[in-house]
Amino acid sequence: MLENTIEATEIKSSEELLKAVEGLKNDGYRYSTMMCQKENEGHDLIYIFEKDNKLKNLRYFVKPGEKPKSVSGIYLCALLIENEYQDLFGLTFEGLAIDYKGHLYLTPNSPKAPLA
Amino acid sequence: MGMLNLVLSNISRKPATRLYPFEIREPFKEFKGRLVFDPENCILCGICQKKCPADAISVTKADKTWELNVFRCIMCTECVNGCPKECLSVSNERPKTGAKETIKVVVPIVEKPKANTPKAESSKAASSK
Amino acid sequence: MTTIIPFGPQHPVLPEPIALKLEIDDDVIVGVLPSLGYVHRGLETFVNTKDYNQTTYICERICGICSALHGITYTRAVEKLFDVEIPERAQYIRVIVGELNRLHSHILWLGLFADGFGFESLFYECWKYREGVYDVLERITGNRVIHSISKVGGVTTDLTKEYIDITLKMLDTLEPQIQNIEKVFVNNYTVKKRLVGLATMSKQLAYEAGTAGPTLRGSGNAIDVRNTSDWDIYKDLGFKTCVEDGGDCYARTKVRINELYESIKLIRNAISKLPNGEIATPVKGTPTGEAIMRTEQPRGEVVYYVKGNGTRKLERLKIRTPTFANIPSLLLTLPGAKLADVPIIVLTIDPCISCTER
Repeated sequence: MLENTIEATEIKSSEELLKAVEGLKNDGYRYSTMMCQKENEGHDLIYIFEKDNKLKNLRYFVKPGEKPKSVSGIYLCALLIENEYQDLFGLTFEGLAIDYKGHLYLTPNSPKAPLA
Repeated sequence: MGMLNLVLSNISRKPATRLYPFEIREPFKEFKGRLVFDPENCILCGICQKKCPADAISVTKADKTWELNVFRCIMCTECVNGCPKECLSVSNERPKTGAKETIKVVVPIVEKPKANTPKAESSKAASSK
Repeated sequence: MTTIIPFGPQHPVLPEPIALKLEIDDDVIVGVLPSLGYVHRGLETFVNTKDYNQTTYICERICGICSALHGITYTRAVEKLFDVEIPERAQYIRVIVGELNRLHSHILWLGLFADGFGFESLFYECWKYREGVYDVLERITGNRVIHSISKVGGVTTDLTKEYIDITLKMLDTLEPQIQNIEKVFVNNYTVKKRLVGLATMSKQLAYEAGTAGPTLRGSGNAIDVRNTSDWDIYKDLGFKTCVEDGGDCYARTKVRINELYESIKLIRNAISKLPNGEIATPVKGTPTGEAIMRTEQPRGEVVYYVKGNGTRKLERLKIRTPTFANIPSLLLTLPGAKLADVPIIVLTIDPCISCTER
């Protein structure tokens, strides 16, 4: 249905994701960022990596209730964006380097998961 | 020697700042200072209200009013470019701080020259009732 | 025994609120925990209530300093969705205004940095020179801070002969002024004592920490989004990436000063090559699909992700700002530094917290 979608490699399981990210790091890729959006009850994650001015994207679908694995063990800089999505989408990332427990942006009395 | 030059040039130089309340710089002629509404030609179409990204303009057809919330207006001039009758314009005059929050203008809808056609007359009659 | 000292959210050197919990041993930092969330405005959710043209104005208000470049990136991303080619003249005007934006942002940073290490007169000197750039921008676009130059399909204002003249005149006066302040930043004994060897990041570390912009280029990585295929226009203008190998605060300062000269060169080249023609193409319809757009902002690369679903409102807008990428590097550079150097190290990534939290 969508026209001009971005090219992305589909990833099936979280183990495969960690392996793919590890492989990208060994290839000399730089972690750029990650997108998250609601789709079919679950969440669609797009990881963006960069090398020699070219982007490489990984797409991973998080099923409802699933706890995705954090890549902050491989790329430390992923911790801020993963904490952001814990706040805004109510996801829980396993194995975060620094876990703010959903309070990076939000205070205890602010709305829960405003983007979810 | 370089130091002496610096001291001398600093003594003879005019200050870089202005003595503000007594000496006010004229705004540039391109400066988007304030929105000016001329109700003469307005047809209350509401395009400015639809285009406004800040929801600052509200047009009420029933009361024939055009209202601008000055505190919300971001001077993007979308409404100026969008107005089909060119009722809106930008003035480079600086708005005064703490001015009124809203400007409400009653629009006198002037009948067009073609008002003689029976259809327009009947609508005029309906509106005057 | 370690003590925890809060740095921020209100601190004399920080124009914006960020809190760092510093774990110190004597006066050496051993651990850092940044905490954000003081200016989170939820702008990414806010776009769901506005149509794609109006969103331009929201994106410009993410940051006051790099506002034109935020607007340009957003509009380019939406143009990618529509697959429209904008007139060449509009592209050149965007480059000129974008580079003017970079000029005043870097001069602002140099001033704030001078203030950070206690050189007040240099701070005033920098900000005095910055006024000239602001005056030109105000005359070209009509607004002083939020320029609103870019719209979906082109630019809003044309660059007439009069504006070209004032821009060139301003550049001619600005260049010797920059040489003036460069002398102090690069050669002054006290400044060098304060900056050289501080918070050094190796080439490899800066690359792996995912840093962006001058922080990355100050460590010897020649990565600049202006070289990518999205920005072919910069190649025609003879753009050269500014790189320094030092990796310390001094190298990052030098990168920014060199980028000032680079921006001046780019503006002059763009003006001399400015083609004639239309400044905007009409864009009609509703955006569908998804697109990623990257731009080099004064602080580093910004990544925009837009997704349209066939309505006038965008379904998702995601913005990765440069400071967001640079904050994790503080976790690596601050440990081992002295407490008195923390303001300089924090300022050296050019933090823009409103950008970061959106």
